[in-house]
Amino acid sequence: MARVAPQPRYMRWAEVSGGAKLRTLNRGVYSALLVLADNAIITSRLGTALAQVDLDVPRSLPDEPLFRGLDAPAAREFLTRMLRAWVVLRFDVGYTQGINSIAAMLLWATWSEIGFPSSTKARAKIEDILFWTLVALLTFHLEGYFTQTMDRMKDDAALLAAIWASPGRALADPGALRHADVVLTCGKLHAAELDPLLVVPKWFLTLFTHVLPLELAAHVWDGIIEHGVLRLLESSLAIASLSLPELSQCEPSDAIAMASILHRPTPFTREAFDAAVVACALRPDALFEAEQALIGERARSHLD
Amino acid sequence: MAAGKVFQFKLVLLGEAAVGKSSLVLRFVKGQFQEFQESTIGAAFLTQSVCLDDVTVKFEIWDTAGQERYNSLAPMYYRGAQAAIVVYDITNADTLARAKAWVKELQRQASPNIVIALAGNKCDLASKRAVDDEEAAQYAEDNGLLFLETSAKGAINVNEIFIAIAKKLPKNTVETRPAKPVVQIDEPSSSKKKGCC
Repeated sequence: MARVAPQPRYMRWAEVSGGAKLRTLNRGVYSALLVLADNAIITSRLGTALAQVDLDVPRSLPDEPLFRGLDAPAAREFLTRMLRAWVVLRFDVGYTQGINSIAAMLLWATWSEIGFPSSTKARAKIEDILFWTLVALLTFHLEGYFTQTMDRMKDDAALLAAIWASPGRALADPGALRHADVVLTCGKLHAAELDPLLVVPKWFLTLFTHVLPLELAAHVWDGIIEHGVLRLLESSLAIASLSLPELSQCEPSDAIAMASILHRPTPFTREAFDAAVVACALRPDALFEAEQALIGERARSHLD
Repeated sequence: MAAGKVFQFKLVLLGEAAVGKSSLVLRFVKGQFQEFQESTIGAAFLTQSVCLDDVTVKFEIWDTAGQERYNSLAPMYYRGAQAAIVVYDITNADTLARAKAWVKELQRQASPNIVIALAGNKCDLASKRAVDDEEAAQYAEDNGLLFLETSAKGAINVNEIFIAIAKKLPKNTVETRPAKPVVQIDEPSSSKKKGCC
């Protein structure tokens, strides 16, 4: 039997995220979006977002060899085109800083496995695939995070606060190997009164690319893309629980020191992450209860 | 080392995206500069101390995202801050307008006695200047702000602006800790003028 070569990660992400399907349904649209992005009427309407894209591309994952070495000019052009097309496609959402890092990560993951595409044809195909993967991620997985008001991120921060306050109610498997660590971590963060909004933007709006070494971030992405957005919360709990030794060194009330640790956790192995994320599996019904409480709270604040 | 009392203050940086807020912090805290500084998402937290004659001022620095849609998070960042550096880019007049809006918001919403400094950053790019320094100085004076033109790249006036803030902050109303040897947890700044004794 012939051996099947493992599928490159970017192809897997494209398929599992829904990007490949979007691409099939939208043949030729990406190049049309790029033409539109140069149209004077469009640029006059979307000028602020497009200008911000131009400012941010050179500082997207700037320490990575892909964006520093010989391929850097081509890589930046690649990234610029993807982001400009996004701004035109989703002018209702627009451009939020963080999207640049997510797009850059897609390119990085591809480049780290197969190198930078040398021929124009190969480049155009990969660019098309990555663009629709970006659209799928931002639309199917992260809808609501990047809007003007960032409501979904704020809701998730409130959910995390609820989980930190009573992890026992939210965690699905009390028998998991690292369960005690997760509960202890939640307790520490809750006791320090750490507002999750101090860490959630960096975690979620960059999908951990500003937080973890990229190889590890890619591994976390595998889980989020496969299991959906609940895994985003579970991953953040897992990352925090893996920082428990460092968090324990902080003064119990020093929320800022803890936030700094969570912004740049001491690197851990994939295996450690995999074990931790099992222990962080959430009970969907517990989340539903927390969400209902949030909705009630918001309704009350509107009435006040 | 004769270390006096240690005073800790929260300082927040605000300003339009890409004016150099994080670069000013990186220069002040680590004495470094990066041509392409990753944009700050949400906020970043760092600490650095400056020693004045007989006291040490420890800054807990909150560096914030500049893009407008992150503005709704800003009140959480400047809440309880005793000092702020509002940054604009001298090569881009729009960023001064944004800085003025931040000053107005701080004066209305932040702690009443907050010490605000205005930093006209990127002053090494004098050939591209779009904001007159005298105009900015006059605005700062009219609004009771400290003002310096700075360059994170050229290490110009970076430590100076933090020292000016440290001097202006009241040393009697905040919690102090008993005198003890200062533990410098961050690498000292290596730029020309040291902020610490």
